Amino acid sequence: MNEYALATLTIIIILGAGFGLLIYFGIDVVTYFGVGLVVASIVGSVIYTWWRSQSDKTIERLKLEILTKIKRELEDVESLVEEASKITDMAPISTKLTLLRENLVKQKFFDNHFNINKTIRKYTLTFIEQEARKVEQRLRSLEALAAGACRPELEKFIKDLQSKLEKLLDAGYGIEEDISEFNIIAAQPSQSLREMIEKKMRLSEKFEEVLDKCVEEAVSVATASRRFGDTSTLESSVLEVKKMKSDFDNAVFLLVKARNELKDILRDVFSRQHSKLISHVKEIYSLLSANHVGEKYKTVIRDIRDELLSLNDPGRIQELRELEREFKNKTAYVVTDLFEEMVELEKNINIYKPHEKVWTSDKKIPELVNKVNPSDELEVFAKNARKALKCLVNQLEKDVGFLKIIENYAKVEPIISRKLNERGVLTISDLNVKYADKFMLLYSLKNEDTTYEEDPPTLTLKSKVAAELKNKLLKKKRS
Amino acid sequence: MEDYSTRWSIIASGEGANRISFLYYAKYRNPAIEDRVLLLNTTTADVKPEKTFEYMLTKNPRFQEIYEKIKREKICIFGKSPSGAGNNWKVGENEARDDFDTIRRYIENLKLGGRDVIFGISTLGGGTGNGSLPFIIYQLKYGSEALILGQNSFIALGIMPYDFEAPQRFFNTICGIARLLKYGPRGVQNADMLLLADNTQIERLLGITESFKEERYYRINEEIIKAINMMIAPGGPGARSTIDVADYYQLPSNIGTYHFTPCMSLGNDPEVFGIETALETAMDRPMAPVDPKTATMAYVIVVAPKKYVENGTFTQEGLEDITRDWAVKNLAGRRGGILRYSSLVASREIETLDVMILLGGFSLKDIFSKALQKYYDFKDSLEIEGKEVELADENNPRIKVRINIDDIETIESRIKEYIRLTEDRIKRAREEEIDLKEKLLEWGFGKSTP
Repeated sequence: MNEYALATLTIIIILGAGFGLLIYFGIDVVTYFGVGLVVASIVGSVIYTWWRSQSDKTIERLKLEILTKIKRELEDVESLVEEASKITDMAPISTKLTLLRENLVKQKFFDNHFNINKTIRKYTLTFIEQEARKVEQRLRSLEALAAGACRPELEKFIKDLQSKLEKLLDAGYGIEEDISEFNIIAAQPSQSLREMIEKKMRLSEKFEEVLDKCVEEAVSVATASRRFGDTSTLESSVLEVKKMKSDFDNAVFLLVKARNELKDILRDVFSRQHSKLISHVKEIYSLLSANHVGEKYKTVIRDIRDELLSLNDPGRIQELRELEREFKNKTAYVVTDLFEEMVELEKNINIYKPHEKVWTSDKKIPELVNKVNPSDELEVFAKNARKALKCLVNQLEKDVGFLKIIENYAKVEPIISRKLNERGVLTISDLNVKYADKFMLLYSLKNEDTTYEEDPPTLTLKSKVAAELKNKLLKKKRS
Repeated sequence: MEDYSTRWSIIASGEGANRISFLYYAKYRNPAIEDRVLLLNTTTADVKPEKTFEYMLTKNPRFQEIYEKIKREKICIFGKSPSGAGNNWKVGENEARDDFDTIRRYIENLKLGGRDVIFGISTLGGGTGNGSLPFIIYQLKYGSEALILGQNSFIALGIMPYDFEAPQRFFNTICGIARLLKYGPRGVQNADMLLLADNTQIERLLGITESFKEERYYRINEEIIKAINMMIAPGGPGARSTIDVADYYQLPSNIGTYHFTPCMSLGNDPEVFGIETALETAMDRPMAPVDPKTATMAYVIVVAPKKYVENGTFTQEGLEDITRDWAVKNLAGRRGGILRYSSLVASREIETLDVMILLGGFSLKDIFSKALQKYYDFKDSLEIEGKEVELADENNPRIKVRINIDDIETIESRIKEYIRLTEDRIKRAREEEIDLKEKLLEWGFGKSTP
């Protein structure tokens, strides 16, 4: 509604009300009404003026906030573009950003130092909002342009580093896990310019970490290999890499070269130690191949064997030494464990008080087991371990076999009795069970009416009928 | 179950059979049977946990819970006799006939399919199972009320009483064997296959010395369940050569002799025993008294740990070679009987070499030798009034039934006919080899054309 019409209407209503009061209540009431009206107008004016001044302040504050935001965003995009210029040429985008900045100054939103101008009071809030929206849209489109320009370059950068990592890996550096970690970072999605810049930064950091690791490894191998050749030049050239972190090409070149030189120095000694160790490992593994040796023991030695077979880089001589240590420790563990297993079995066997013809324990085993010491030199250790394992495995076979004989005797006994009564004489082939000789021996020890001959294993029933049968059989065999 | 070519079910009638099937259900579930088990009885007293299953329930507290679970759906009380059949098979048969609707309803609940096997179990000395099972099989197989019909297979297991039991039990036994073999007005083949097991024989084989009756039953029943599971094994996963249910009964039915007994050698250490030795041991352990040299048929089932099958220690080809030699040495005749199957089953569950031989077509002489005297003792003591005799329970004289003497004569003549055929088959298997030259000529080989 028009302000004037509203004022006129208000005056008419007040006059109407005053006239009404005058007619109905008289002049006194009208006087009070008039005074009250004047006081109310004064109070209302004061309140109105205060309210208007507050509302103006809020608008000014909003204008400032919008312009501050524009400034911040512009500067943010400028810094991103600056970072991105390390990946690819960003000059056209930088120029457009400068133009944008100049335009804002030209519009008098900002002064020459790009501080918010005090003259913004003269712009309405709506105008500033509209201009800010335009600037924002422009910034987003410039950022997208920059991202589009960066993407292929970033991919090229990643591929380049991956190929460098492959070179280092091929040279023999143990960086398999690092490569996986690098590839995980590389595979992470990066759509915005900020994400691309962050990804590049993380990849560079990871690559530098890998370089450090390679330097440490090369220095460590070189130090350990001093007795096999002069490694001083090589060591100092490798240490140079630490100083040229950002120069990835040279760093990688130096590291690969160092590794190849180390290989040349170590080739003979590695080959000698490798073949010696693998032959010991294979011998121990073959000793454990018997059925009654638990799979867990075979696995332990098989794993070392497989690792050794895949280790063919002289530069990894330290790993070879680690494997030698592991071989000694694990073989010693297998020997001890098998010995304990044997002791347990023999405790059970001794309950049956077996006749010595059926089962005996190998008394020299404890001493042989004690001699297996991982701190011995490899040759000595392997010799002692072989001796101990050979006896242990043989004895375990005897023990397991004896327990099987005991467990199954009740089933075999009636078969022996029946066949013996039928034939008088039994040989191994008549019985058709494993450990037939032991079953027959045990049977003869339990049955006085029988005799057992060891060579060839034969069980004979000593009764007259059996003797006759035996005679017939012998006659038949002779004829 | 998908791994089994055929589904099996157990229908156990009578107190002794109920014990076996409950033990199976509670302890030895087989994926081919799952929960298709039905316990039939004529009196609730015989299936009360405190009477029949008490000992089993003390073996494992979980069994009580299982009993509670199955008692409504899996236990069927049929007939109107409040005191059961009183060891009188005729009463058992009549009760089943009069109340077949009830039995049928419970069988329907088993949800059997058209080709499923119905494995009926009954002790042969009693009244309920011995009386009802032959009737039920006949009804399901041929009767107008048959519910499944078509291609179901019916295998019956009859368990013979202890040697020391009373003559009436042996009268029941011979009648039971006869009625499981042949039934109906025309005396047609009833069960497709009849397995015989003997309490005394199993007890001897297991070396059971306990005097406590319930423990003895328990161990015998365990052995019977193992035999059932062994029989199912070649139809399931791991079988290198499948023996399905039709293989078990079709040829024996054609030959006309279809009685068998299991011989088992279980728990052999595969590191020690070969199949030959396990077969020899099994042969020494038939579940019923038989002379193996009269057997004309054999199904050899070997269940071995999978790893020994995979590493070639045991092979189907090897088993067949061994079985051939074994059969020539042990079965009737010089050619090793007239029918032979063998199956090697690789099992993940067991660590032992288990062997079962189902010997079949053997002479029933040893079985009848121990039963006939008591059969006649009882039969001769019956008082014939007109053409009928009254069979009453000694312990409960209220339970009595009349039976026509002609029916007994018919049963006798049928079993005699079956025995005659069996002996004839054995004789033929033992006959000298044919004159090959003459036979070739007879078949048209070597004849010069005019």
